[in-house]
Amino acid sequence: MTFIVSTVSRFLALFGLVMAAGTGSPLRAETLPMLPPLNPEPTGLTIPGKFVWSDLFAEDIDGAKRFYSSLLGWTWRTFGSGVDEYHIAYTDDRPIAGLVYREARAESGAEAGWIVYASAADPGALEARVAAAGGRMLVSPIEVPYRGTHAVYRDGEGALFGVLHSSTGDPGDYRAEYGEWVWTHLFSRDVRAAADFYSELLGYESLDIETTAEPNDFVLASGGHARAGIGAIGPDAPEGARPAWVGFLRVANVDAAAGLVEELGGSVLMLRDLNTFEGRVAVVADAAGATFGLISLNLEAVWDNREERQ
Amino acid sequence: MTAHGYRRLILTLTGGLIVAFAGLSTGCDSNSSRSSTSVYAGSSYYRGPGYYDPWYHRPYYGGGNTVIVNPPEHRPPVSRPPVNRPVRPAPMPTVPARPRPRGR
Repeated sequence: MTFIVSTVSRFLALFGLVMAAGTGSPLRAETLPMLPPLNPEPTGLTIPGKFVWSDLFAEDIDGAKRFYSSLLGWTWRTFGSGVDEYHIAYTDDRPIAGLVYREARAESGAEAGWIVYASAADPGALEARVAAAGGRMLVSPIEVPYRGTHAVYRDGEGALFGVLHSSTGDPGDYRAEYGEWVWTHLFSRDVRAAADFYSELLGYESLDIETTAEPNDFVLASGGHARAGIGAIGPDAPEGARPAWVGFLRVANVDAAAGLVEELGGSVLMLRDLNTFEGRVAVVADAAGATFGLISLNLEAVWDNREERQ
Repeated sequence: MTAHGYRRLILTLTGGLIVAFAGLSTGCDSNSSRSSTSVYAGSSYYRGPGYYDPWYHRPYYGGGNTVIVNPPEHRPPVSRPPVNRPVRPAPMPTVPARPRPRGR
């Protein structure tokens, strides 16, 4: 995923929204209802650092559902009731993301935001190490029956991230289909420190990308696969840009999807070619300002050419 | 042989003895000082075979046998890459591309 790291790093106009969405969120995870497991059957897999879940925090629940269903074909199921409702998006009966009510705050500059969750054996055990790096725990570990234990942290730079220990193991490493998460990227002011921090925290192998023109970018790998990228917030970033994690969804046609984002009331913050995989990438914001990415990748060709296939 | 010829012969022999003695005594110096890399021989210093020696330019000077210069017994150390260089997976890992089994 070298290409994604180097590409996304060049486009930082998104930060005004990305970062605003990730600040000061009063996460109400303590009241989450009983949720279904990540996997229909136990996988027996433990893949530390693999990003296994994403939650969207938004005030307009119905609006968010309409937006993502129209854009990606997601279907929704609701768990719990009242203010404790938790909505899960599905594609082809596979759970993709959660949707949680969050009151919009004017000072944050955005009404909604995404939080990505990485696999960790003990979400609560990370608190001391996060604190030592200048971060803090925002949501204490919560055990949700059948689902697992999760916690939410803010790292030393202010980027929010979650960790989740799934009761049924981590999902297997399979090709992301259209409408599924395929990549996660951290925008950071100190990429080397961030790479060291997350490698130590979540067990990644940090790979400095020497083959691109951006030597400060890193790929975080675990279990033989690339899990995330880290790119620098460049000097051309808009004022007020702050570090944040951004998830990217796989789509068949990025240009068409980006156009649809605008039709649905969202905005396109970046759109360009990728260097490999015959891909395109876009960073967009939904109608409520939550920022996420869209990527088209020819993963089928990647698989056809991989030694892994043998 | 004329007087001039005798004088010339004496000068030549004398010079040769001086040179021979100088070389002998210098050789003794050389044995007692192995670290020296130059040998004084009369009015010039011998600095060992070098680029400007004639055997390096035989075609220019013409004739002679082929000169074979053996490499020194102790060769300078060869630079090698650092042993503890970071190990990088090859190729760079990518996102999972394996198709999902049906029904999962």
